[in-house]
Amino acid sequence: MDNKENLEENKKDCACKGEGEKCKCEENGGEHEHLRGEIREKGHKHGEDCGCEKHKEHKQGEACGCKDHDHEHRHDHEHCHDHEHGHEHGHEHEHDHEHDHDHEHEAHNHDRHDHDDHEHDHEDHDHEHEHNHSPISVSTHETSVIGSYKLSIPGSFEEAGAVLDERMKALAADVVSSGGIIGHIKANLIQQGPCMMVSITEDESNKLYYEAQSCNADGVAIVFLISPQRLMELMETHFGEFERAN
Amino acid sequence: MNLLIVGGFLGSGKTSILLKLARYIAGENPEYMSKVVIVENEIGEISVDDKVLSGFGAYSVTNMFSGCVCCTMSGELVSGLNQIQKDMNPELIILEATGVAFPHNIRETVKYSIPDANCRVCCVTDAKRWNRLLIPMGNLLPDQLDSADVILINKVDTVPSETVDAVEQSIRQFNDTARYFRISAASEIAPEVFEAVLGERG
Ligand SMILES: Nc1nc2c(ncn2[C@@H]2O[C@H](COP(=O)(O)OP(=O)(O)O)[C@@H](O)[C@H]2O)c(=O)[nH]1
Ligand SMILES: [Mg+2]
Repeated sequence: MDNKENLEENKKDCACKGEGEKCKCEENGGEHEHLRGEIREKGHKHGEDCGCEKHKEHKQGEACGCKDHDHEHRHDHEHCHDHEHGHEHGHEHEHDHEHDHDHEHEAHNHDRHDHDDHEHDHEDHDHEHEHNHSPISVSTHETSVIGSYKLSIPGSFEEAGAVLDERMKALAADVVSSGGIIGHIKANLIQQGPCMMVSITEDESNKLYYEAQSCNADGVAIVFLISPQRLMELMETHFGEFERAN
Repeated sequence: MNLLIVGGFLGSGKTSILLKLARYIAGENPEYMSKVVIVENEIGEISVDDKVLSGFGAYSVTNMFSGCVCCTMSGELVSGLNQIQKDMNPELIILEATGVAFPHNIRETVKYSIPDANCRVCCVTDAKRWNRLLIPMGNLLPDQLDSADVILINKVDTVPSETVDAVEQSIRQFNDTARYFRISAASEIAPEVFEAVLGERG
């Protein structure tokens, strides 16, 4: 990796917004991985046009409809803005294991990077199907089946906490009664509190204060010995009524 | 580089123990605490433990990669560790492995790519679930114990001591060279446990 400044720059510039993708262009020494934000050995940044055939297909900001990227995306949709992306979230993804890790990048402290100045040409995104911004998704890692959920639960912290607790226990019970084994089912509940909008049209700002009346629950259900489909069904049963949390 | 790898099956108590270990280090030497970086590796799209750990203390928590670093993500592991060492120059990096990782693989990767790293492996086991999980998770649990320097039999508050005896006997079949401690992360953990986990530092 290069120095920190470069890293930060690259994260901003990178078409995948730092998600890291697998590139198979011959010109660059065969299959290699772009690490998030990394300048690759041969000198082009992830997301940058390196001049090779493959990379002409998806320059920065363009859709990655190319063959090399035909794995199913399941990176965090927060970072995808409004563009249509390669899958309908909320339904089953069977993953080519090779790609399993490529998009699991909630990690990397995303919130520290500002992607807003990221110039995306949204018109260019030509994925066949849409995101539905589902609050739940399922992936696999070796023998484990991982349900992820990002729920907005209405009510006070206490109310939402009680609902989340009850739903997670019900999910756990159903995993077991479906013959599965619970690895770990866990979530963080975070209360939405005072909010402020700052608005500027000339030089002075207007501030609008309001109170967000819900809680966000972010969590996973890591289980074994049940199918991804079954876990998705169970999550739909117990979490299906909630909106996706931002 | 001093690296402590904390491994063990999902839900065995790694994060709970890390919270206490961090507090122990802080109590023992508050300045040292600022020199500790905790790295969380979780599978799935959503990380949970990093938020909990950050919420508890003034130490640095990173969640720099996702997907399991013990196998496919080993390149990211090495570059990530090197980056942390370069940017933050910590005295200790604690890596909480995913609950499906083989800490032995992580250690091997680190030893190979960062030969001067001083690596310790602590494996956390769950006294309550060990017997129930051993057969269905037979391809995972025993191998997670490989090359552990210290094995913590956790959650001893939840089962009778005879069960703990049986669990320890079972675990020892797979690693009889580690130091063993029976603990409960739900209550106090003795300083000698942490000292054994940390090993020689510096
Ligand atoms: N009763 C009891 N519960 C524990 C103990 N250690 C951890 N737990 C609980 O076990 C669950 C998993 O613990 P966690 O630290 O998240 O495990 P990890 O997945 O290995 O990091 C949590 O609900 C903890 O509160 C213990 O010693 N006794
Ligand atoms: Mg944990």
